[in-house]
Amino acid sequence: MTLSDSDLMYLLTLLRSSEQPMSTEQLVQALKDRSGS
Amino acid sequence: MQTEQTAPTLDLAGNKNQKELARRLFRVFEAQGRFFSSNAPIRITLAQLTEFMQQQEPGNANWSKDISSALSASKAVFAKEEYEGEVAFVTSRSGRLPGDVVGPDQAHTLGKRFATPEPKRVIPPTRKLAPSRSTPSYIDSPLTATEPSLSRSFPNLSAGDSYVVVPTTLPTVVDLPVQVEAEVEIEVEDTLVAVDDEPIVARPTASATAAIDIATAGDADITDAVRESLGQEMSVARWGDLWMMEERVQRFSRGDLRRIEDFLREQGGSTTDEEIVQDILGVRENAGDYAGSRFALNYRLSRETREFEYIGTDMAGVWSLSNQPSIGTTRRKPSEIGQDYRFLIDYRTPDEGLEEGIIEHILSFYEYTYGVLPLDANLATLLPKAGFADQRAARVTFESPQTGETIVTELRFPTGNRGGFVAGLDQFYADNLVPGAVLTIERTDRSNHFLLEYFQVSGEDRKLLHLDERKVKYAFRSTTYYCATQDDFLLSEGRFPKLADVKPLDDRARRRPEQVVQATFERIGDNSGSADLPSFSASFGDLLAAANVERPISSEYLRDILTSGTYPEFSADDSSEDVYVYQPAT
Repeated sequence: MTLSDSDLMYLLTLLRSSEQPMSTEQLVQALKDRSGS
Repeated sequence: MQTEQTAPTLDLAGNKNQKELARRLFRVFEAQGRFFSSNAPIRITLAQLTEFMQQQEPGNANWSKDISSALSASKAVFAKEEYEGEVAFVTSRSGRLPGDVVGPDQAHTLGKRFATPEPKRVIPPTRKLAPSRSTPSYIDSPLTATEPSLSRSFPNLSAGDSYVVVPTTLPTVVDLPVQVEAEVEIEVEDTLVAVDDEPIVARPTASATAAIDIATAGDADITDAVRESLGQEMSVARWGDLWMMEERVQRFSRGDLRRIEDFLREQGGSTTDEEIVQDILGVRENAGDYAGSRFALNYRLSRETREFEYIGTDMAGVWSLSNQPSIGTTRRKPSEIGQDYRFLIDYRTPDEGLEEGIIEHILSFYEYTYGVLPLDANLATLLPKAGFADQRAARVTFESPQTGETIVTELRFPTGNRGGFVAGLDQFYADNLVPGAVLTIERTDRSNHFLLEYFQVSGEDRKLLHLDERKVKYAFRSTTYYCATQDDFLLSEGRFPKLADVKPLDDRARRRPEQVVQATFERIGDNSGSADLPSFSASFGDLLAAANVERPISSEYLRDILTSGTYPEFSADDSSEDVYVYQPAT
């Protein structure tokens, strides 16, 4: 299983705007928040 | 050209003093993030804000409380975060919460423009090419699914359209493109057309490109998908379970690396990333960029494999100088032990009903002899993961409450054809335990430190199996031991008298588990056949204990060998419960 291009781009944008490392857990939560689930 | 820069309109709330304070502090955030994009999060801890205000106006002893209430009141501008007990506030240069931007307002983000609608990716025309020659085997085709940046998306070519297709063989550019016909105009039909009998663009299978639906998928699946997808991105740096854009990861000079190398030498060859960050890079633990500095240190040093080796875990960074001696027995090479444990790669389901954070393990003869523990499915629930995908080993310590000693061991991670194991316990085993001893391994609050306990009993004397290294034979010796054992794994003379004076199998036979099982039947089984047509029978428990003298074989693996039908010489004895028969092929 992989992320859709849209989700992946979203994470890359998120990482690009972050000065600190982000955990997988934070990224998963960000995806869930974005999808409203 | 000059552009006008307007101050953002702040939607502040609270009383007059709180609004005024929030406005003042917003300017601090602006200064902190002056080079950020307008929607990037700017994060400052409450402690840092308090320190700033105390410098400005030392008379107020309640700055922390005032700042917290002022910023918390303006929820449209500031978001409060708490991480490991530290409070921080976040906003952006636009005066809005960063989440407002990455949430609904995505009309003009790069990601949105790339992804909606998903563009057709047509292979661009290339330079004129000479007749192609075959691609050398050491060069991957640029269109293979293994190439990271292309592997996740392929064009959907519709029938009837016209496309330019580039041969997948290595082109040769020539000066005079006369007589050269490298671009081939083809009509895409229902099936993809190949040139030189090679598929141009392999239509990916559904499973290879199946994108996860975040709205319906579970957390575990999303987590796997995030790791899988980001792991393929060359622009993303990873350490353990942390991610960062590679371009944002701090870089170190050659001088920094030299100082780190010298520091490691002073520390006896290894030290933690935290000590390096604090002592060499001068970043304090409570500094805002501490986490980023740790990440940068671990990521950048992992690229300097000539000087440094990572021996930490996914959560605890530990570095050593490269080419340090490995920990563990010298009787058998680590690579050979890894091959002995190869079967563990196929058996990954932990036992049901495991207690959280603690496992029980019965020490086998093989483990006792080489001072190892198998990284089986049960132990894998406790032991840490690797910090990097290509990491060879991690330093893990075990503390024995009974003896008061701490044993430094090496956790060898599984590779493609080798199983994982913990090495370096040989002396502890020899001093305190016997094969068959019951061990418990318990997690602590440190990810690379564990408790290793055994049950102490009053001394017991038995004749137990040993390997006489001088004569290279197994022998029974009187042994007094003070640890609780499980009788099924105890190799006593009364149980296996025929093992006395038996020579160990040679390495070629040891590498083949079925040959080890055959030899074990012959060594311990009852022969109910004749000398010409032998038929050995033995109970499963006896086979398991005695087969583990030569090589590691788990209970599940042994049962598969005996019952899978792959080896017809083994069969179940229908007349007795859990007894198996070995009839050598004639």
